[in-house]
Amino acid sequence: MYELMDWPLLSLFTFAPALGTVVVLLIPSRRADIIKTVASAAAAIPMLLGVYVFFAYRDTGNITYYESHKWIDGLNVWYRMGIDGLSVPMIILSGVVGFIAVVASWGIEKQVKGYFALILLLLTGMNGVFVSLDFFLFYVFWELMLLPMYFLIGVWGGPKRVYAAIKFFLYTMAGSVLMLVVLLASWYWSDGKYLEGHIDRKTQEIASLVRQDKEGAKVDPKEISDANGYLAAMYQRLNDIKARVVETRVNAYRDVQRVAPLGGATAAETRRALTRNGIDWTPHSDDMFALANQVDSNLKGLPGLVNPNNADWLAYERTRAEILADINLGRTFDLSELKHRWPLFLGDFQLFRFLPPMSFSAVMFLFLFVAFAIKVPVFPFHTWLPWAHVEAPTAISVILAGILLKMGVYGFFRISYSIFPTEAVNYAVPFAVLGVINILYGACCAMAQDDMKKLVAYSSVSHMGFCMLGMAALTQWGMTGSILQMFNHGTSTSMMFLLVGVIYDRAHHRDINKFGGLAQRLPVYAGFMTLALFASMGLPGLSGFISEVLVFLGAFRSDMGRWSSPSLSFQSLTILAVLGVVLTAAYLLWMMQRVFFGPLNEKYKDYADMNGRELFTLVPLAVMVIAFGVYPQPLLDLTSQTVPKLGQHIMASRGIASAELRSVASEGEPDAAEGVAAHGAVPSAPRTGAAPQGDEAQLEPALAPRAEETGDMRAWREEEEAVLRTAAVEREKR
Amino acid sequence: MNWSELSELLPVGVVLAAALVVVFLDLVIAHKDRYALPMVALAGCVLGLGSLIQNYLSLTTYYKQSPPWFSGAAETAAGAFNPLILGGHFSIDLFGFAIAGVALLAGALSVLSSAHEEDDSALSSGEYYGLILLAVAGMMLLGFAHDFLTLLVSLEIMSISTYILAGSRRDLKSGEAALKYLVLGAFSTAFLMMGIAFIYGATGKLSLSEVLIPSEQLVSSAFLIRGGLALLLVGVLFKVGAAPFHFWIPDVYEGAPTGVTGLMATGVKAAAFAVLGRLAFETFGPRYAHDWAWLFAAAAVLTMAVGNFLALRQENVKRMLAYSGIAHTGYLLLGFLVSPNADGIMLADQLQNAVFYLLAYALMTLGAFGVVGLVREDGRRLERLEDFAGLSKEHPGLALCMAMFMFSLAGLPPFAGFFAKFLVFKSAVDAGYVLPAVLGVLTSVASMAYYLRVVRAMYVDPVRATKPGEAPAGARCRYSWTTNLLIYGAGLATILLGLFPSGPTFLLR
Amino acid sequence: MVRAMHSMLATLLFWIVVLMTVTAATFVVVARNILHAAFALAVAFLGVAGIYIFLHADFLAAVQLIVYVGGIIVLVMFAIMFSAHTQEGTVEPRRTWLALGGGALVAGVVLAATIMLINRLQVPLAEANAHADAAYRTTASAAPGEIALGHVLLGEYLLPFEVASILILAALVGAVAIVRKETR
Repeated sequence: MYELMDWPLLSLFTFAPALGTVVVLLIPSRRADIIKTVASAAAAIPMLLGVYVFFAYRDTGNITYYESHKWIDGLNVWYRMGIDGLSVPMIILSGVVGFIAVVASWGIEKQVKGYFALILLLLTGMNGVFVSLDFFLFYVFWELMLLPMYFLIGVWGGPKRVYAAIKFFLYTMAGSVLMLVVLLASWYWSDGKYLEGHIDRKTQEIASLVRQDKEGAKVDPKEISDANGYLAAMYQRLNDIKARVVETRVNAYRDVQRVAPLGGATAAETRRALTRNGIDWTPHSDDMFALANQVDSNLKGLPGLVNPNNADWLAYERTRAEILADINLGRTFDLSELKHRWPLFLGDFQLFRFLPPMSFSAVMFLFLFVAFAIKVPVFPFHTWLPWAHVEAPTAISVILAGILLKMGVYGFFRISYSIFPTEAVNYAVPFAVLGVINILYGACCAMAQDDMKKLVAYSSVSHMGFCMLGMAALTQWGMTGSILQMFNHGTSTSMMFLLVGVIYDRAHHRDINKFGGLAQRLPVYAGFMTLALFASMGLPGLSGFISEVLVFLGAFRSDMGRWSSPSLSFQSLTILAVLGVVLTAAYLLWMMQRVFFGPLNEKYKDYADMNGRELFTLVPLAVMVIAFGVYPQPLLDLTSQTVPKLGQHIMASRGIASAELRSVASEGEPDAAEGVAAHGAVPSAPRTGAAPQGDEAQLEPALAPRAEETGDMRAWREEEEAVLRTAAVEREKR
Repeated sequence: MNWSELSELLPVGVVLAAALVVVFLDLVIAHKDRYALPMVALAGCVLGLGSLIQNYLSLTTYYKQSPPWFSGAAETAAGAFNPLILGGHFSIDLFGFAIAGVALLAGALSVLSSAHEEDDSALSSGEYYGLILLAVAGMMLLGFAHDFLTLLVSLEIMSISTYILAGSRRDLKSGEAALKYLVLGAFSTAFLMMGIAFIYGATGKLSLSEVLIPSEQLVSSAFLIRGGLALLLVGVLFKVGAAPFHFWIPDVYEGAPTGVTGLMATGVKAAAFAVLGRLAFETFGPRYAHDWAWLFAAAAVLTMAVGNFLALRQENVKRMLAYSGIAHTGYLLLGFLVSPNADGIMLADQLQNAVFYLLAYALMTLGAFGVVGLVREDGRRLERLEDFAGLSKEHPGLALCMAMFMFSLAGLPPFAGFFAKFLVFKSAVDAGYVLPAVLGVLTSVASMAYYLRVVRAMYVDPVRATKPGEAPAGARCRYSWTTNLLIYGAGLATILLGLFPSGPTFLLR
Repeated sequence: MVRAMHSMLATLLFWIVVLMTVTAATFVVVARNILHAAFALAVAFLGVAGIYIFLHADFLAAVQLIVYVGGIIVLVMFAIMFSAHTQEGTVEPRRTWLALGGGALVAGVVLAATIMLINRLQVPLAEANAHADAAYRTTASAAPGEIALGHVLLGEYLLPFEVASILILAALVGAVAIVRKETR
């Protein structure tokens, strides 16, 4: 696998469709067949790469296939791409569904050239979002996807297409602006200056407290000690950030070094030289600073590469001085850097006068929440979705439901949770509540629909609720389930939209009540539809089952809501969410009954069953739905190390968060550190001792510890297991 | 005065010579080939650009370093680059080079977009192209001008040429535009002149970077200087078209021939911003930033608000673009806010960002006006929004470029406009003006609404029948290879600048 | 006593000239007949020349008289007489209350802003005037005659002076453009 490191695999994955756009634009409009072939070929490349990655990828929790080039001088914007366990399922999904959507569009007859050019551009935007590791690049791809989508709905859509397109555009734009604000803020704050100011203010507060204490005023000694503890944590954070600022500069200087003193060696050449000499060159391993130093010292050992006596070296030394003087180079858009840069504190930022003061991070987190929530879509922001889905042509609906919605949840995982871990913990319960609302509200709306496409659209709202719930739980099972649910919903809902498209092509309407008994005439069609519906319902043996079960299990044992009211605990929320499964079964089965069974509507007796192209688009999805339903292990393996690592990152921030919580509202809540201590007191039985029952046993292999697991990861896993054990002990007591 | 330094102004000389050649050529050649005159004018611009680059390169090789961004940033040590030439009347610095470059680009592109106007003899005469070149020469001089006298004279060269250009089409609207432009332009020049007179009277100095150097006299006649600077600023804000001095822009832009409108919206604006930039960075600088920058910030916020919200109501695309130009003046003003504790590096950085904006804005605006100039029917120019319906079907390439210009003007990535806005907002935040930058982001979202209307008209809206009883047909364009060259070139540049924003700075090395 | 009388007389005369200039200038703007406006303009130019004399800028006053009153005004008159529109030369400007109000508002805002700017300085007006006077005296005492003016104009400021020739070139080309447009 590492020999492929020199290949810009992810750039190819992202830009192959864009290349297709250019080629399509060069073909004369009358050669529609060539345009369609070229477009399909261009879309096939990401699919093949996605399949390759599926087989080749071994999750280590680190970034692989890393590409990094300086993009914009001065702003320290880099072209960074890479994948880890979070992105791999998404790029597989994006590759496969994208290709299928292009093939499913062969029936398009209006302005063929424009359509295929735009859909390929759309694929580039989506693929780019899933692989970019630079916030700026992420934002550019995120926006890039918006424009083709507007045209695809606005020009090729149904009767109300203009309204749907504008609505989609405005909603997404609003979200993008909020994301832009966070983007800028995170860049400005990534050099730790803001945290310095905050620490100064806090120090003065403590000084005044101590003064009051000495002057005889009654000051709670705990208050002072808490504040001191908080300050110590902040100092630690600041030192950490400062070290990282230096490191970012070192990286910039290494870039110079690679070009100048190495006799103009390119990055790839250097990498090859390093590999030949047996030097590890895995960027973004956990301790990047150490690695940078190691690589630097190793570089010096290579003969003839660095010569302090030559003029280039002097030039490079001068450049390095310039780099160290440039304030902008200490700031960064690198997502894997930002995740260690954001000042974690609960400050006193007042967004509006009538709101209680929030931390600045919380405000940014909420901005980002709105940006992603619009995409997911989370309940109050969902109104664009039924319109866009119903008005868009079939293939675009497939892309919307199959990939675009996932970008929202992916954004939560990739950006919100890794940059704002403290807020991820603080807002876990509201997130879960929104998730449950999505599940129930979406299901209820779906039940009320007569339009098949609208029904499927609302079912998407409902199913994305499961993703939100699992994600908010912050347990390994929950988060794994959430990612899996994204993947599985992507395949099953794509099938459903394709199938709705098939019947619409024949009947030219989608009114559920006007069909009936179609199973007699279209047996293959009915078979596929049944499969898709069952998968969506979460029937065991099909893909939806495993992810929903993981979400429920992960959510049920989550301890996130402990300090809020018990009625909002994750346990009760999970029970409500399970209701959603029942509702799902109800509306899907009801639809099935109205469309496929009962007396045959005579109007439809002459309809042909599915043709070759339709089968071609549906069979791969059907195979995936069944295969990953029966044997989900390969999918679980994709995230087996990344998810614990993310969890550990989030939990590591809890110490600081709870220190602040304690100082703000000293109500004696057990904070995370104490919690760990308490759980640690339970005699740690061997793994087999805590034998889980039922479904959990079946899942055990997915969670088996790995040889390369780090100490921190193990600690987090142990903490989680301890919670589970306590719960088991309590159950037994009862 | 060292007259050999006059060679630094050779690019201006080239353009002037081209202007004279065009005017005389019109008398000599028969009007068979309508492309002859524009091609000579274009050659003048290209030669001017070549001469400008040649100047830059020879300076860089001579001093072994590139010129400073502005004369105040030049190191005073012996042997260092001294950009002030010809007794301090001109400053040969990067800012000047950039403005002159943008002016030449704007001139060349507006020549390209005027070359098809053969139906209107006034627009194909030698005087028309001669005046364009004269205006460009004025803009270039304005870019380099470093004292009030040179500045005023250069400004008038540019202005007088554009007054007449604005009225060069033979109809009432064009005449109205020219008259309005003349009256209001003269009005603003009067303000400018009065301000300069006050300042000269108080200090006895004319050099931009010297008038405010602290001295006994400066303190004793502060009152006069204040008044003079206030008048000067009013004049400059008038010229750049910032609110509340923006009233002339929509009428003038709408009435003037489209090629001239493009020139006014980009070249003239860039030159006016050269004056503003020199005032902000050289005359005031960080030392007086505390006194003046808030005024720019207030004008910026007002201009952004007024431009964007009035643009929302326009039905005429040209008029809409005029209001959008006002809004962009507001964004540009954000790039000229100076922090009281800015150092030379930061100021140079800010100037660089502002110049990037001017360049990106020139490309997309000229491209957009190019498309507007082509849309017509039975020889009638069509400028209303509904006239663009169906353009995507009749002319997919032009419609695509127009859509790109609109998205770029709105500031969507990955187009040049996004980075331009990003950079000036960054400048403003760096200078400590966070609120204006945030308002800039918000108004720029609102601007999406009216830019999208154009895109919607071209791609989504149903086409209408031109006459009752006829089959509906999409908007039709004239064919002109020069204008097409302009549009596709600007479109390509808009994307390339967006994808590689550090490209221009890379070229400077 | 005589000096005081003299001074008082000079002041009176100065205000008369100023009043004349401003009145004439206002009349230029509001006059309905273009010929009347031209005559008023001549009066305003004369007034400006008078102000120059009060400022001890005799040379400038002479230039003002010769160039503006003697040259420009005559040109303007010729232009008006020769163009055939003298009879219908009265214009009826459209004046709506909205436009008037808006204009007044903007003018007020600008005026307020200017006053605010100047007030930020907090210099008493009398003191400021004294300074202006002092500044004038230093300039005036150092003020060279017309000979020195010529030296400066053709020496230190030769370049801007020459650049001004481009300005005249532009004006000339423009004039040709306008005329050609009319004749074609």
